[in-house]
Amino acid sequence: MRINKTYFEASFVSFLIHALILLYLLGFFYFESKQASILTKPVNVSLIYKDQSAVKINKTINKIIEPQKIESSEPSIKNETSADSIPFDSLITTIGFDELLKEDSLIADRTEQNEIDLYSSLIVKNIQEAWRKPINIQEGLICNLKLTINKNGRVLNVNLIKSSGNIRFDNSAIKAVQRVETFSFYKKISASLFSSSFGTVIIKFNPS
Amino acid sequence: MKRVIFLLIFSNILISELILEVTQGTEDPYRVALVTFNGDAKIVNEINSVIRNNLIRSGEFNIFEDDDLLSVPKNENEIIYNDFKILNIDYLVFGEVFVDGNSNSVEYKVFDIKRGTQVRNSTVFGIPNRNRQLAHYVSDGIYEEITGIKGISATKILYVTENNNFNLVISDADGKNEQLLLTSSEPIISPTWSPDSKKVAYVSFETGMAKVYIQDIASGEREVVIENSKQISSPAWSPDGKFLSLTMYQDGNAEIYILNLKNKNLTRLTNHYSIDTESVWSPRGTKIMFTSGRSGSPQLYELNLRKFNSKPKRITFDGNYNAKGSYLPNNEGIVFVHRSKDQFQIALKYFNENFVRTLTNSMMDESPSISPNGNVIVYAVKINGTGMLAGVTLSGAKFILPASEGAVREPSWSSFLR
Repeated sequence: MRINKTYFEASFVSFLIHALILLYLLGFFYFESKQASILTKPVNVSLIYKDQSAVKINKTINKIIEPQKIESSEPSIKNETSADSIPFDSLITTIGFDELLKEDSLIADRTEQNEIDLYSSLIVKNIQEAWRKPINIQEGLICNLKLTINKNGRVLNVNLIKSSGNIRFDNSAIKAVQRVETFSFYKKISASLFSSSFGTVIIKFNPS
Repeated sequence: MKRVIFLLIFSNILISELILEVTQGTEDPYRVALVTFNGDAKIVNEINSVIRNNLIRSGEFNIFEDDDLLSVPKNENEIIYNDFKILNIDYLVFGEVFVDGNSNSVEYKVFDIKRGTQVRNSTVFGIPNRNRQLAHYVSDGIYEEITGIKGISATKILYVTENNNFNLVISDADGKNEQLLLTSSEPIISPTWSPDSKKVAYVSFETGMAKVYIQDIASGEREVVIENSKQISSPAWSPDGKFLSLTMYQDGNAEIYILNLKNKNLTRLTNHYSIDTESVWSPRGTKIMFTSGRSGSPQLYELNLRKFNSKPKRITFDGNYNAKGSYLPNNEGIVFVHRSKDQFQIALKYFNENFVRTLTNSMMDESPSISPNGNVIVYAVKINGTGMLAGVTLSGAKFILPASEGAVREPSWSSFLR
């Protein structure tokens, strides 16, 4: 019997597609957590100059770097006014404007991350206050809820995306969200942050 | 087409969402203010006390009444939310009873104090002299609103009492409002509900022979489905209502059989020289659990009905006595009688755990039956030598149902009735 090569190809491709679909349905591609943006190594800055314009720049640089001071334990920022001044042009090249810009955007990222952390902890706090855990349920139960929340903080939709297998537990989680109903602090969240992070939120109930 | 599918798959992966983890919660009961309803004082009194008892029995609530409150609102405009917030109250319930000729009805409202809004406004219609029933419906409404789980106040319990005669009795879930189904001078054993709770099955020896009857509750009509000169016991309905599993002693030894109710065909399930008895069906009807002495002590075994010629699989391993099992309604685990240190206790075991949780601590607890919402277990207990019914909730609250006349045994809980 002759075997047509295209059959092999077709069945292989079909197998791949089906396997992918199956894996997708089984949650293989479902990633548990979003990677928090990590601050890269702080840039070591040394400034050595004395003329007026340089002082001005010095101020702004200080401002930019300040929030980083809290983060890193050993930022080496030296403000030295010395007689052997280096020309301004060379100063720019030593620090590297590109690097400065990168740092700037990192700091912006950092404050956004702070905000995400703050509002996340508020969401968790609100739900924890409303959550009544059922007694005498299995240990190690976990369920995931997907909340759709509007700009005013009102929970529009609660979806059980991963059941714990215990209906009392799942139910208590859904009930906790229903009891919160509205996250009042949502009004403070900026529109861009809301649309990027807080429109849909996955809540994982994990008492263990 | 291929591309479309790949795109669909990958586009979903790329959207990452914020995932937050909730680890803490309270295990305290809900604090509920139950204000005396408006309306005819006598009826209101009865309804209020039934509701209060129903809610307390569930073990999920701390009930506050008029005297415990700072202000007692009579309608929603009078609610001072702060008065309730100070007392840390979660929910407020009030209502009104309307007596209108032939029909009593209750309108009740549930308020969420923290949110400061009304979360439920319902009216229950009843008929006179059925105020208890009315109160049960209201209780279930409140229970469901607050916990999110269906209430069981309006369900029934079936059991056998024994004084001079043997009586088959149905009562409300609170043990009151008893109705006699059958009375006989000979033993009645193993009463059980049909899945739709319109019929009951039991074994009666009234004719001198063991006969399994199926009796319609509303009409009282009954039929014999199987009879045997030797003992028959513990009939159990399959979830689809088409089969009855039972224990028969045909060849002098207790074995499990399945009876097809339509054509009365009998199929033997077990074959072992030790005792096999007390069969029950899993919630989906795919498995049968029974008590067997094949390991030398009574233990629970499971038989998969989907597999041809499957062997019973032992499922309890703790202690040397585990019997009379029944499945939790969502099949997360089983409830059974467990002996530890010469005490027979009601115990719970989840399938994904390898230890037993004992729920009661008296000496002789037997015949556990689980409520349809899976939250409460009613069982028979001996108090001062008399058989009585007691209950325990999974949240740990215990209660005793009011004493019936004579010794009570073998309770069986109905399914949801509406």
